[in-house]
Parts: sequence; C-alpha cells; structure tokens
Amino acid sequence: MLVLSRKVGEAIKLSDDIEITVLAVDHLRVRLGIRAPRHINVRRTELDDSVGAANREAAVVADPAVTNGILTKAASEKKKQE
Amino acid sequence: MHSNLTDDVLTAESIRDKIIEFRDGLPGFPRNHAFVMAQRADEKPFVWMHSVTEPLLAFALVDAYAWEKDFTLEVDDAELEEMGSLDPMDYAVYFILRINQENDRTTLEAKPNAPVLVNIRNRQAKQVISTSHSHRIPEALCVRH
Repeated sequence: MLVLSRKVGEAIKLSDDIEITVLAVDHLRVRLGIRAPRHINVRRTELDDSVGAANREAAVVADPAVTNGILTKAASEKKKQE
Repeated sequence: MHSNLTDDVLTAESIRDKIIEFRDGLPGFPRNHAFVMAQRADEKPFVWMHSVTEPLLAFALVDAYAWEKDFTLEVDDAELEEMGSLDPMDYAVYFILRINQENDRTTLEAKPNAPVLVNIRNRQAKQVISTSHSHRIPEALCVRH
C-alpha cells in the first residue's frame, strides 16, 4: 500500500483521468471529491463488503438432500399468496 | 456438468445457452465468473444459479418482478452500457435469496438493494447496488413443511 499525506485542497491523480481531491477534514471524517470518467465505478467499500457478506450467507451446497424441492414449494406458496 | 439440485440434466447444448458471465465476479466470490441458470417448470419464478467454477456452489434466485410486481430499479447508464445494452427490455432482474431452514419451515429472504441484472441477449451479468428502489419490497417468504 502506498501511503501519502495531502492537505485540504490538494489532490492525487490515478493514471491520467482520475483525480481525487481532499475537500475537507473534520475530526475523523474526510470529504473527498472524485473526478473520473463515467465508466469508472466508485463505490463505498463497506457497501461492497456487505453485499459480499450477504452473498456468502446466501450460498448453498448444491446437494439435493439439502435443497430438494425448496423452490418448488416456494413457487406454490408464492402462487397461493397472489 | 449436471444440476445436482434439480432433476433435469443439462446437456452441453443447454448449458451453453444458459451460462451467464459476471465479468467482475460475484461479490464475495471473486473467482466465480460463470454460472448456469437451472429452473424446472414448477419452480418458476424461482431459479437456481450454479457456479461453473465450483460445482458445489449454488444460489437460489427469484425474478424480482415476480417477487414484487411494483419493483422499480434505478441503474446508472454507464453500468448498463458496460453490460452491452441501454434497453431495459434486454434485462432480467433477480434477487439472491438467503435460505433459512428451521424445524417446521423454510424462509427465503431477499436482499432488494443488491439485485442481479442479466442481459438476456449476451448473458452478461452483474450484481448492482441499488441506492433507490422506490417501493417497499417484501423481504421474506415463509414455506411451511
């Protein structure tokens, strides 16, 4: 990991087309401005992590003893509700 | 590979047809890019999504619009462009379900803020994070045994 210090108002560049500016610092919170092309996907890491964690919880072992018939039952239950 | 979860055996032909590709991997499973959708007629609108890389790994999914008729989703155009189409008609939308099995019942729990989009023309798939889904979406379905 590269670690560098920046003051408020200073920026860093990633490659040629991404620029991240430190807009404000307030105690433990840093406000960043990100200028990047539209195809660059900017996400909060913890949001990504929570989706990954939810997926890991949703993963099942493809074993018919565990999963057999679940979706068939779910489908008929869903139909009943409508 | 045949589906362990359902009775139908997928042939090479139908696998090729049903493989979807998560170019960036599935969040939480970065090495898994290719999945196969398997659905028996009586499972509709639910579907199993099997990993091609790890044959024992599977997920239960549900068609988002069947789960909640009024479901609406806002996705960044750049994201759709990356997946090969800006036409909403080209996409199928699913929720990944968490299965909780207790003694006398099974609960299927959806995570509405992280739907899976599949471009049905080129089979490109991506799990997007939805910041604004307008309706209250039911999160769970309970099945009694």
